[in-house]
Amino acid sequence: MRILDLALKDLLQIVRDWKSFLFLLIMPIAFTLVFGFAFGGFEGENEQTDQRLPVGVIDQDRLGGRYSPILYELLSNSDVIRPEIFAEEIQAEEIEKKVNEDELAAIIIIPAGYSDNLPGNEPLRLTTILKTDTNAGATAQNAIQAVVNRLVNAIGAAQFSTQAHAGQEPFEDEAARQTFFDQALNQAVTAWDQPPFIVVSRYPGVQEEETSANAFAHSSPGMMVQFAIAGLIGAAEVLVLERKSGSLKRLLTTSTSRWDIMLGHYLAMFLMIFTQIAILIIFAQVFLDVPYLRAPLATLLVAVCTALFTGSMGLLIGTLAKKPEQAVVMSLIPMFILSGLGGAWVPLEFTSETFQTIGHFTPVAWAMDGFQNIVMRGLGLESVLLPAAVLLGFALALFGSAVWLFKFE
Amino acid sequence: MKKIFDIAFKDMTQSFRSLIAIMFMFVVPILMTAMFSLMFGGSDADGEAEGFALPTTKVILVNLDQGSFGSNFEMNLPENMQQDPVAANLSSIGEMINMVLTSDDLSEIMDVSLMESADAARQAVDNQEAGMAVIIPEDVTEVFMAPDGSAQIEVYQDPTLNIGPAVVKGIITQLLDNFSASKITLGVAIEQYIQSSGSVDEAQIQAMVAQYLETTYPREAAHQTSEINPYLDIRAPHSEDAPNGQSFNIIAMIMTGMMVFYVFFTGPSTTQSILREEDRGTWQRLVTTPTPTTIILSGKFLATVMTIIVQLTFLLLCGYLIFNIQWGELFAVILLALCITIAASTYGIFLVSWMQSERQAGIIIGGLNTVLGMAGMMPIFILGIPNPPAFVKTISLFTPQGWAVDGFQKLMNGSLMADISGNMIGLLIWAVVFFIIGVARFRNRFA
Repeated sequence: MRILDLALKDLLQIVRDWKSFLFLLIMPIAFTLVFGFAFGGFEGENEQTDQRLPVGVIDQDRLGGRYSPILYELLSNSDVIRPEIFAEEIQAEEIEKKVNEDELAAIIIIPAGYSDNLPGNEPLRLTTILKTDTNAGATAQNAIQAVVNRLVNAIGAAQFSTQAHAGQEPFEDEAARQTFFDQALNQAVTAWDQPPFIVVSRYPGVQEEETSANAFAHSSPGMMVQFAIAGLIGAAEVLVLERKSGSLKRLLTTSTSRWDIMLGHYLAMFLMIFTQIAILIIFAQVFLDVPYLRAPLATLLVAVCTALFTGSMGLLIGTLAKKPEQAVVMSLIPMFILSGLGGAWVPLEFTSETFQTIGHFTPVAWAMDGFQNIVMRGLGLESVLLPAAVLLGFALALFGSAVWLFKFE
Repeated sequence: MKKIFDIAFKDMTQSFRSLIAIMFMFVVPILMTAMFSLMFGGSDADGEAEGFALPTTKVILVNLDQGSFGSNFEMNLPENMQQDPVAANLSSIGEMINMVLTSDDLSEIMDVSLMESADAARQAVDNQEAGMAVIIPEDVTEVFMAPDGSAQIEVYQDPTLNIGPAVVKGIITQLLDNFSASKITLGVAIEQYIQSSGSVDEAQIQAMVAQYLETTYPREAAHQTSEINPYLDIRAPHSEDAPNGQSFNIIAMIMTGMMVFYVFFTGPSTTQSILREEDRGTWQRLVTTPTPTTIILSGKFLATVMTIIVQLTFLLLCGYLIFNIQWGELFAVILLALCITIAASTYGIFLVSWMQSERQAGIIIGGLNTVLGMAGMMPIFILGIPNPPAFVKTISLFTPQGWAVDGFQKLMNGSLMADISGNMIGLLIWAVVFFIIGVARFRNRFA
């Protein structure tokens, strides 16, 4: 009963401050949206928003160039890049600055005479300016290469068809030959709209009609875990202020045991964080279509274990910190380090294999694994048992440390 | 004036005596940068980012292809192609994809293992034993040999992975485009032949295939062995003004983010001494002395300014010496740092003016700094994300931290003083707003 009383007192202290609500709920939602948008959160849902990489095109072969319009058409049909025509007169420095500042993924300069030389053995090359060391640059390079290969093939197909026909039945004149060639070229370009061999991506846990996983499926658990730790600033401070005001000393002179005091504070932190996580899960499920409730038991288990771990950390911070500002610093430092290492901001996939291993020494990585197994991989309860067990291990270790330190209070 | 300095030095001494404050101001930003430096591969001896090293993707290849190019096809191969041991021994598209994906050239990108069952491969991906499964259908070669039809290679991938599967998918698509090219070329030729002649027989088709192989193979072989890309002249954007060619150094950007974040934390943390003095009763004692409140507040402000100058100087030097970060034109860096110092110090006055006690400070300083800092660092978070929405970058400019990060980003990209004047003006506008509101609130409070 005393445990419940203490927990209730702590919760009232936290909830009375409206700033806690802002920090525990509004901010994680805002950052979930921002990070989700950054990773293409509404891709495909809004036809007005073209998510393809913007690529600048300067056509110096415009006058008399018969293949540059086809190249532009093939570029426009790409699933990956979106061409934007720039005036021929534009200064090189001006447009290259757009690549440097990431406004464009690449620039393609079609040199004068390109069309005349393309069918030959030594064609003029397209000047392609991009940053090869960025994801956007590398992706654009592959897409441009694929488009150019298709253009060259379409011209080759038209040439081959024309030659094959001439071998069987010579053309009446050059005009007939050209008409035949143009028809063949059109057919080949059209055929590349739906090539006979394609690669299709399929994802576990994603319905056939869905094209890819929901981009919020990473930002939602990431921000949820990060702001659960950030929420400890207020929660740990309650313990610090209790000590500072002398009420902890007074409490220790009563018949309330140290265990009761620790469990009371821990229960409050657990309940606060669990409620925060639960609200954020419901928000993400209802408004962002992140399928947490696809496996409700699994989600509940990971949420409980994450709250247990975070609560233990809060208890330890509250025990260690002697001043309120120390509680802030002790909450913010692990928040940054654990969120960064654990892949809450940037998926661990973007890091080296060694770093991914190091990242899994942090509880955040396991919480992320647990939630992602449900919302991205479409897996069930069995898949979250290991992450839940690891989180429980962290929770026990941190709780044990806090209890041990509290002995010296 | 002496009193202002006395108060400032007293506050600075208090700040620098606190181990936690020292850790937070000087050690944590460096540690965080070092951590992210390890995370993204670090920088070389010249300070240039070594570039992003792709983690190896575990790939399971299931080759169900039952077809064969057949003896007729082999007979039609031109002599030079028959003499090519690799080309001559491949009997299906499945084998060809297998050969390419398991080649030594790609061993750093993907670690390929073979399986016979598509379901087992999908299960392995589900169990996270592999990042992706490439499933070649049984009819792919058959489709290639037939005049019509199409085939799909299935890539079943872990949805939490993007880069590795995208690279593998790109390689397979390029390979398949070669087969599509053959099929499209022969398809166009046969269709046109039928349109002009009414029909085509098997012998004529075989003759076309032979002619196609005869004309296409030598050209493709020459392009594949050439070290020069025959169609694209790829080069990096001109950035001769960028110091040390540092157009994309993620470590420099992370150091910038950490520096700006912690500097804006120092502002309110140092100014918080006003609240501490109020809580302890020393403030009330101080205002009973002949020292005017303005002098006391000026001393507090000077302490914050000086602490931030020390912190910024230390972090800029560490960035240069430890991570070899080229911050850009020295004079512009100094001016930008001064503007940041003024903005962060006035931000401290502004924030603390809203707090009644130290008790409120934790959640406000910690919470607001986390939120504003993360918003300001958005340009860093979205580094490397293809085609990020423009508004994400704009969000950062609603915070003083965003103007500071943007200014440093421009200087590191080679911009000069004139290019960052907007950033400096932006920071000073923030500073003026913070100062006016903060001082007005303190005046009312201590009136």
